[in-house]
Amino acid sequence: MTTRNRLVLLAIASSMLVGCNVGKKSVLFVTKTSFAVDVDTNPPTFDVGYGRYEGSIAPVVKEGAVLPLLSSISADAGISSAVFGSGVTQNFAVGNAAIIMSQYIGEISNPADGHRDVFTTIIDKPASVIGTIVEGERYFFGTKTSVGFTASFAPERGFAPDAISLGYKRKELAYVPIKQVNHPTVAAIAAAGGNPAVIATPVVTKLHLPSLLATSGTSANAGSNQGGFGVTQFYATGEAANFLAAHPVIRNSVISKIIGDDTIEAKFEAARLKAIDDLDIIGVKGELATLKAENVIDNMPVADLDGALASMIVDTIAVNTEVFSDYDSDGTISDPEKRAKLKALAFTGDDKELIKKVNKWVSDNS
Amino acid sequence: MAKRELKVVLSKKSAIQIDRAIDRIDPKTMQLKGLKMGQKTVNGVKVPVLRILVEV
Repeated sequence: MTTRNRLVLLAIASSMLVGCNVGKKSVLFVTKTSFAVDVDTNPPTFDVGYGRYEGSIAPVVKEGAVLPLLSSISADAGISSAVFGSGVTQNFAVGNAAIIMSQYIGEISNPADGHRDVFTTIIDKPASVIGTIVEGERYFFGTKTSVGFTASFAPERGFAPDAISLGYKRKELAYVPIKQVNHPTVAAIAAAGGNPAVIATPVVTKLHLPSLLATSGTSANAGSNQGGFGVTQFYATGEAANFLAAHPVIRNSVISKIIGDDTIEAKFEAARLKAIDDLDIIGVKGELATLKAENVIDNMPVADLDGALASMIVDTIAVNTEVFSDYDSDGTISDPEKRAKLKALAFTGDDKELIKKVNKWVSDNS
Repeated sequence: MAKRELKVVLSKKSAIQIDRAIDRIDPKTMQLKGLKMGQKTVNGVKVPVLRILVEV
């Protein structure tokens, strides 16, 4: 069957489904994945047509929520592995299974021992949303992804893939009824004694929209021992969509590529390296100022040491209550201890103002 | 008084910077008073900076 005929059939089937009772009091959730293969030996080429359809028709309750559905596919392997399915992982879940699979992914997919107990509160009852079905209110959420993938091989290099071309097409459609719901205001609830069961006026009208999520990512590489093609897709509705969208791994894999997170990271790294250079420069200036001060202090006559401390206080290098310290606690302050105190006060660290003051003090006392 | 310690893994550059800063502190005449986190703004980007407080 040609691609055109398949699309026509899909359109007819969709229109028939919309007109019938599917999705009014039931959930229709469909996915179809195919890796179509065309191999030629002269010249050696390999064509893969990847196609995937995902779609669901289900009720939207009066309050705007939808039931959880989850589907995903990940294929990231060499060409031959993908064709024969050994590098493909798929997931298809409805209800609590969709909630658990979407909530516990990545590094928290392996909870501690007794993992079944972790999910007891979820699996004790079937998945549910608060609300009532309104006759005829359904949503349709669907995606169609197709990738034309071609690889040519170099016999002189052991038939390693030396060129890859990729044609990517994706269509996404969401048709969702918007729900208008009246909520009592905070003041109205307080006036009704805080009892939510009491209908309180005035109300604020809010428009509710359910969560629907579909992500897609592809990659291709050549020139390695097993050049190949990779794809990862997620499809989720309701609470499963909320959990997936909230997971940092999912967000990072999509959002960072949209807004160029690499640019933000690069700017921060450049600023960080400049800050290091700036502090290095200040640090060198500080060490130089302290070294000059230490030379002056080492060569200062003993009789001038008390005056040196006084001038440091005047220059606000030392506080006005500063005194010499008895470092060895022998009850007397020796001349070496006075010099040690003055050198410690001349330690500028990375304080630009203090560096200026110490340089001035050095200049005045040289 | 009992001793306690906390540990933080550093990048190579940060480790070198801190090592050089500590080398400048003379234990005979200076006393480490504490550590604080500050920030330095470079080209409009705020960069975290560790402040090593010393008393002389």
